Amino acid sequence: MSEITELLAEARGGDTSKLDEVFDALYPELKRLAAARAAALAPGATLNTTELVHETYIKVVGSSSLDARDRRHFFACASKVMREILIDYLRAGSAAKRGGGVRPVTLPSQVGGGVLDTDLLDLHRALDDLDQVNPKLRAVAELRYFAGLSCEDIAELEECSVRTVQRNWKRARAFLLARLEQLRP
Amino acid sequence: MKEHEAEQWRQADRLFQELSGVSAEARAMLLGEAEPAIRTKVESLLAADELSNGLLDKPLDSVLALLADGASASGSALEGRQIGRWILEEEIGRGGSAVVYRAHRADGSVDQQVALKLLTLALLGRDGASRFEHEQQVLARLRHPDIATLIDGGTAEDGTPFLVTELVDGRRLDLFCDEEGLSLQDRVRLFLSVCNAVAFAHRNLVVHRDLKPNNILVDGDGRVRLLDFGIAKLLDAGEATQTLRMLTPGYAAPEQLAGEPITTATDVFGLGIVLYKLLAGVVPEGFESRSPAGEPGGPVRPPSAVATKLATNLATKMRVDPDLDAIVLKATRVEPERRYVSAQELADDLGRWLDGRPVVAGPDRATYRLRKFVGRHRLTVVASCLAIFGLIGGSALALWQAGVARQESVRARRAQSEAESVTAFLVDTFEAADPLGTRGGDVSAREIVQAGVERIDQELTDQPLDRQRLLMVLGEVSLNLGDFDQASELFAAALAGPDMEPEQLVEALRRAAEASSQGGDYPAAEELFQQAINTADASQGGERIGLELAFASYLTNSYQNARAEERVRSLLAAEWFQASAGPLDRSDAATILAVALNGLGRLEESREWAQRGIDLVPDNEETAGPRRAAALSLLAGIEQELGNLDRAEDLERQAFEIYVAIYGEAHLLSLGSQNNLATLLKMKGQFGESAALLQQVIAVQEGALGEMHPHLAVSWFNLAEAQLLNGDLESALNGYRQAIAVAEASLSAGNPRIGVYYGIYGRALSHAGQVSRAAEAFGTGLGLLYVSPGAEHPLTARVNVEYAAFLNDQERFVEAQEIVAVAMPLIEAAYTADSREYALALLQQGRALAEGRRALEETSQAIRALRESHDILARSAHRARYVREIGEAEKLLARLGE
Repeated sequence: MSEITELLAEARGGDTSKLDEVFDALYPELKRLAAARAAALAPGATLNTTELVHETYIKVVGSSSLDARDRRHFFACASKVMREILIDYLRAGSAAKRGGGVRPVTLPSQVGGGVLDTDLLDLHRALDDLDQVNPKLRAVAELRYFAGLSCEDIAELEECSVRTVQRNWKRARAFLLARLEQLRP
Repeated sequence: MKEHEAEQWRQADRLFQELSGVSAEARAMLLGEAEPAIRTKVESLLAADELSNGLLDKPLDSVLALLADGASASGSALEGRQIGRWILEEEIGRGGSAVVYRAHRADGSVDQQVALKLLTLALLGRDGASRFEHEQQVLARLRHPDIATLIDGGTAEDGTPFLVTELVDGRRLDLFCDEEGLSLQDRVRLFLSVCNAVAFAHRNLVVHRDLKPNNILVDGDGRVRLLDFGIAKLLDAGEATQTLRMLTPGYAAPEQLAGEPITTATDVFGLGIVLYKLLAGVVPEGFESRSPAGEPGGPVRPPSAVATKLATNLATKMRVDPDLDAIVLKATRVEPERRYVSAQELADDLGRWLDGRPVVAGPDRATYRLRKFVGRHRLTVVASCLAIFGLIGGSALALWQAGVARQESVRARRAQSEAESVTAFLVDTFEAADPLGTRGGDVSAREIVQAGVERIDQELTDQPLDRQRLLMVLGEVSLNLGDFDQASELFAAALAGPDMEPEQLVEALRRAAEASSQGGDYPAAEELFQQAINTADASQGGERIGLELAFASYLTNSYQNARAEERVRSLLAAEWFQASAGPLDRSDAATILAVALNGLGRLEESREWAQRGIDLVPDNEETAGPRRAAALSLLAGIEQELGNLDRAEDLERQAFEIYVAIYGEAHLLSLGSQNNLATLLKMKGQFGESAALLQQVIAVQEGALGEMHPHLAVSWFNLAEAQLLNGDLESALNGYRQAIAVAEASLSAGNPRIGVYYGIYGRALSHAGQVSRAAEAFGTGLGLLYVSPGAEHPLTARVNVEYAAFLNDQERFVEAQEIVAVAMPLIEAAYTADSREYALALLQQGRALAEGRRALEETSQAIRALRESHDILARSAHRARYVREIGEAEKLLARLGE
């Protein structure tokens, strides 16, 4: 049993502080894996978060199998970690920019008629706001966007209907986009 | 964010939810009532909701690539290491999910260079290992000169799965074409052999799933070699990876991106894109940048629109004409059902293009729109529970037994003339291998047939009559071995030989029809029967009665019980029948009519006719035993349906004793009867006993019939069912998988049973709470059913109803409603207004309307449907079986009444 699966088991016992430890343990794991995978990519190819998160899952869980609650905890932590890794990277990038180095990372996106550059950091902020409004919606958004899970996957993980997840994703998505619009300078 | 603002957002979120799906007027009204701060927030939510293709709808992939900055490539440390029986040499390839090494045998026994693929991303979940192993076996059997053979596979010490294939030294197809400056014609010709290899794999039920130039090499001899067949599925097999799809975005079909089930049409799409690349020099616009979780995208633009770019780079000027455009477009349509049905069809059309003949691919027809939403759901079809039980339960077997009984009498009569033939000794050899002929079974029967076929082709080419006779005998043996494809081929070959006497011709057509019917190719069966009947009419000779009865048997076998009833009744009424029919003919007619009535749910009538079937068999008749046993078994099935389980068990035991007395315990009829007994035990709640008996049956069947006989699939299903009821979920799911494996290996690709079997498996998975795997299983079975017996067949309609039930269970009411709307007219056409089939369709319609209702009108429609469904089921002789459905209707009606 890996350290992480042990932590997950302890978290299941009610000690939720263990989830923070899961998060801490996953961070270097995922980051290392992402870097290794990214390095092995052919030029122009892209990597996807779904693969990374799943590969990490396999690494962590190995041949044993997790019960539903542990799986839920794992993916919740992993999506959070994914988000954190990206944000840390972007922060480093914008710091470097201030120092006159790297270009800031922006995501081109079509909003309304025109094209606008939405900073991922804004999304990060909007997610924190969403957490304040409704933590459940924040969790769905993280699973969907940062772990790349489909609504069906999330429904299975959360043991609820796909419709519920779709509804919650619709709510989270609308909030985040609306909030991003507000945060725009 | 300040707490009061967060609270405003919470209220806005609530209102936003209420306003979704509400009319514009109502929306304006409700919004007007909200306080301004909240109102603006709701409006911004509604506006955001309307946006598509925004930041959140695209995956993060491009960002992730940036993480590569500063990261160093991890070197390969595995050279020289031993994995399984193989020693790794240098790394020769690397992808997102696998690393490929050149390798050689550790023991040096064979000097063979192979490609060993370490699947870094293949995750073997709980049952992944056994599935992985099974898939490997399937792939290892896929032998084609243009497909790189799978040599070995397993797991390394650390649990990493690996696969070993032939090492192919070649160039990528597209690079080869460009570097060699191949002309348009030569490209298409080369591509044709790719299509043929894929078509071969499809006939063996293997879908590639990841066709792209990387996987298609051209070797030094200019021969194409396809790599990685079915490996994407292997990667997909582990339980933990169910959410993880293996695909190459630039070549993946829309249904793959959408996470929908994969069928042979998926490969047709992949082939289309590869062809596109060969003709245009690039993949279609936007394909390179697609992401695995992205939108499937719209239709592809014709290659001729971009081909000019390539033409300038080539010595040979390439002009892609409209026909070739049409072919590519047909192969790459977004909707799988609008593509070529198979790789073979694509190959055929390309062949036509090469010959300068008109191609099939043409502009879309208007009828497409009518079928559009049927198509949308074609890949997610579920088998109806009823169809399943009807298929593998008592009546189907009884029917089959009745068919066998007839065949035996035919055989007895034919034996005399054959004894005189010069080939008598050969016939004996073959018949000795026939499990029915020897009344006991023989393991190597298949091999002997195979040897016989080869021998005929080698030795008897100049003796057409003997050849023809032997082909018929071998066809018969194949039929009894359950190898329906082979039987069909052999009969067809016999029919293609010298002209036969009308009587012989009728018999040959009938046997060919029988093989097609058993093999599930109903259109072919129908046509052959029709030819046989026409021939018999014209010659006024032949086995007219036997033919009519065989045709009626076929009708029940293909779920056309109403037609079967009509046919038998008019036969019974015909003067010529009354004048010439013997007691055996009358007995058989009664039994077949009983089977049809059983299928129609008219159990009392069915019981009467089955009893008449028994009574009509004369005691002194040589073939009385099998007939009596078949009718007893049928009666047992009817009593079982009526809930008289003790009586049913008693009857089935009588049947079993007769079979054992005649054939011994290892015969397939004896085993079939035991199968029925096990089903009875299961219905009596003795799940453990039922499972134990079935395990015994399976052991004997494997010995007598080989591991891959259609009857074994039935046994495995029954065993899985018993285990499921016994609470042994894991064994049950394994059993279902085994059953499907056997069915796939032993039935021809078009046999509707395979589709239905996937449905049973999906249903079990759904019961086990594994919803997405269930959907996948349903999905796989599905396409099969839409291809054969086709979208309009009543079986498919019933299966659609079951699919609607699944959707309703998943609270996908709108889709359920659409599905029922398609199935309903077909159900109404095929079944009576008091039938269970109609009632079950109504129930799902009612559920969908009741739960998803928007308008008052739909509520009253829901009430009507539920009320009618309830009444039909509650009145039905089968009501004991539908307690759950009846309760469901009552519950919903009570709720709607409030």
